[in-house]
Amino acid sequence: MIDIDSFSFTYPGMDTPALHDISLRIESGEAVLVRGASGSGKSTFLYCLNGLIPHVFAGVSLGSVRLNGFAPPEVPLREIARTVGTVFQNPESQIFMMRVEDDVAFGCENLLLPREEVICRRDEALRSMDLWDLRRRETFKLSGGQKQRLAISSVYAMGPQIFLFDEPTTDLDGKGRQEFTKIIRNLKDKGKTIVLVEHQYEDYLPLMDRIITLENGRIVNNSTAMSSPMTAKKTTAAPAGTAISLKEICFGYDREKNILDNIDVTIQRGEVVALKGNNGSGKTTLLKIFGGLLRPFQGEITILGVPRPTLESLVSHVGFLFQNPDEQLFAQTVAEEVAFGPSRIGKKAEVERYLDIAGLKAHSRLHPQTLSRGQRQILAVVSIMAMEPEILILDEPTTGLDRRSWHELFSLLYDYANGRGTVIFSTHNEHAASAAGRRITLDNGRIISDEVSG
Amino acid sequence: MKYLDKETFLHRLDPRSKIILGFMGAILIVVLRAPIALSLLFLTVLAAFGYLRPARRTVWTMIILMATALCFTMISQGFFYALEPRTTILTILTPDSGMLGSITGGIALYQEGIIYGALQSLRLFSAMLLSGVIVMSTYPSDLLLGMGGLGVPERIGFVVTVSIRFLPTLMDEAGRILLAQKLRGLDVKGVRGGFRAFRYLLPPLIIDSLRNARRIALAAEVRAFTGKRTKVRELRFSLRDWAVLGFSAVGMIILILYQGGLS
Amino acid sequence: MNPYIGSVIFIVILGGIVFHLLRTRKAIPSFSIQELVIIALFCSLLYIAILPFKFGLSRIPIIQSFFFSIPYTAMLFIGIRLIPRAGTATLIICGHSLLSQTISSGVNPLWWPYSLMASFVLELYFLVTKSYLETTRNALGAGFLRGLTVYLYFYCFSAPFIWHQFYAPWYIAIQTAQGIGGSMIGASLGMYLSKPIISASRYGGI
Repeated sequence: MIDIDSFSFTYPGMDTPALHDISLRIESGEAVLVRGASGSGKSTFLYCLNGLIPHVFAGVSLGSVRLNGFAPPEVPLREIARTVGTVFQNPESQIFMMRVEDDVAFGCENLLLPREEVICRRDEALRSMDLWDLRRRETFKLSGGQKQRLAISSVYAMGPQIFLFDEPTTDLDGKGRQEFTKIIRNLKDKGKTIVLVEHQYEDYLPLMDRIITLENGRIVNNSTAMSSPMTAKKTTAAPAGTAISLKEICFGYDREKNILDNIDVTIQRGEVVALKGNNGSGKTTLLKIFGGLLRPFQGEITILGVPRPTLESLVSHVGFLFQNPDEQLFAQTVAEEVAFGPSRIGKKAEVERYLDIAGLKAHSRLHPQTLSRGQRQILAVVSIMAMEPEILILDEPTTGLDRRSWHELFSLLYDYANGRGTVIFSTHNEHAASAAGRRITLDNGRIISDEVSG
Repeated sequence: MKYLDKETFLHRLDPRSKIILGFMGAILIVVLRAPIALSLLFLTVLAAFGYLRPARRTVWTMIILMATALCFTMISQGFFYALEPRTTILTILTPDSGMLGSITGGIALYQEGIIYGALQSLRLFSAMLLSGVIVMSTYPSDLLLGMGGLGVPERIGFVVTVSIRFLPTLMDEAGRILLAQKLRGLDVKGVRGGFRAFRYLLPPLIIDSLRNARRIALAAEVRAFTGKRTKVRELRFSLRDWAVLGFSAVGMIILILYQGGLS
Repeated sequence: MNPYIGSVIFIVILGGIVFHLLRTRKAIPSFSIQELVIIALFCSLLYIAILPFKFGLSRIPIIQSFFFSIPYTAMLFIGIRLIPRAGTATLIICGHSLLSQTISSGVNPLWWPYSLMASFVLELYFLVTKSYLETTRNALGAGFLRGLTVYLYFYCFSAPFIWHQFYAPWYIAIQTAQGIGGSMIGASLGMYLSKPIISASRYGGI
């Protein structure tokens, strides 16, 4: 049972508290959803429950937090970990061992439990989380959903009563989210207390007993900034003509298994296209073929009128944005970043203009890493836009962004399509997909639907 | 050389035994002199290597590595052989030809040197094969466990475990960053391009790693990590291990005595 | 007594000196989990940094030492600048060596004293100069020292007494000079690259 009484917390050096006068009571076995915009204090809230505040993060706190009778500041982290388990957003950084079963045992080993008990708990966790068949698999080879499941199992094995989840499925696809729903149900059946922080929470709503909304560090009851769905905008006045044309394309990394099978698709200039599908459907591969990064071993492909172009020839005509913006920021100031691409290909960079479009003019002399995640994403997009490619391709551009950043990103993309060219992006997010004028869905390497919104 | 997922006699040995065997091999490599003794050592290790039946590519790589090492050793020792008697095959520089000659004392290729180089290569081969045998027959985390059991501090064990775990992830990320740079027009061809790639690749890779390090550390904290832990995998010496170690110790002593003691 | 064994004993003594100095200055290293993870990632990054130099042209041993030293020293020094304390150099150098042995070249105890020596020499240098790569001069000195000791050790101890291979003094001089040159270039490269990284980590959301 969690009992929070008039709790406030301020990070060192900050003027405003991250959490302000929170009072809350969560009963044993309840499932609570916590929602709020980025920066509203959701993660801080979780850190106060699992002891990371104050054991790892310093700061000034007022009021009290009690879990099952004890207060986190009074108890060492190792003891708290036996009552509260935390699962974070990125599965990759929660896995420590090379083999699944070793990683599940890791937490229990750290608790210095006797060997037999560690083995017992490990095996029970493997079975409960449906990982028994995968127990000798190398962790590197797991899918995103499986990795997250592993992270959860590793925490589960330590036997906590309370489970905290900090945006656990933001990086996962539809299949991963389904698996997660099963896990939540499983935990609820076992009577565990669940606190879930998530942006895209619609799938989990039926399982939740309560919803708490945080805004600027306070609990509010009604929040209006949340629900506006995005509507597809019509693109107008785009140059006519075909941007990309694929006929009977097949692609696979080995001859046995085709990742893409007999793909036929034509994308016109000026279109904004969303590519949907689960991981493994071939959507990222198709995206890379659109961008000329991969060459199909069968079929005809024409990009911007050139059949089977080389990657080098496409550099200034096709812009490709990978999933993690941090892997694409190389310069030391925001302005330099925007100028990087154009200067390399010999174009004059309209840095001011693009900074303005991105809303980053005030940050132009700052280091890219000082920006927030959403801003870094926009910076990465704009840095490629500055090269003025005719086709802009983005791989999962909404990963890790909150609603407000999405809106900004998509209005950016739409303006771009209106003025200049074609935008193609992949997503496993329904809302993002609804923002596109055309939606192509892939499953098992084939196109199963191709619809245009009216 | 990567771990081979098989069940062989060598696989079933305790990792500590294998490391100890590595030590024994190291001692022999340093100490042995007689050609017969060296050859015996080489053949024993080669047999162990062959017993594991590594993949064809591994064998090929080994052969190429050994061949290049052999060539280089024969040539280098051929040039640098400094004992008498020695027969010159080829003279590149005589001792009295100007400044270079007097600094170097003359550069010439000696027959005895070539033979000497070939013989000494056996040491190199034995070391390469032996270390390969250990790595091919022991799963990395077991190897680290064994090292821990023999006295390597816990912190280093944790550091190496994490670094092995994240190596493939980091390699993938480096590849993606490089690709993203190429797409932004960066020219990475040739030597200059290589250095350019290095210069632009490092900052984002390292910054992202620092960010990841924080996340990983938090995940370790909530898993109650303090440095000490009980281990599921128990290391236990079996009869097999004692037999192998005893056998090898005896063999080692015989080889050393054969050539008249450690000198 | 075999001079190689003598050198191993010397390395152990060196380590003892380092520990003693640390204890008198009350600076026995203790790393937080985050720092240990950063060090671990640097071991992997070090492995990746020298990977392209293991093949192709740089396989020619005559010039390999030069090309090898540059990325190695650069990456190592960036790591030390990020965690400027006693023990960082040792953990990165030894950790990388063990990593490399465990997954590719094979575990060979013969290499272990070599890594320890390279580590202890650097640690001693930092203790004596009271600076962990704070200035470029400090870094160049460290690079010089590293190149000097590592290559001299190899050619004067490892080569003759482990592998029983002998080299003429002039050849040793050339190789050591290359090693020193490469290490110093790597040192300045590392200092140059570490500046944006450090400023980013100070001001950014890392």
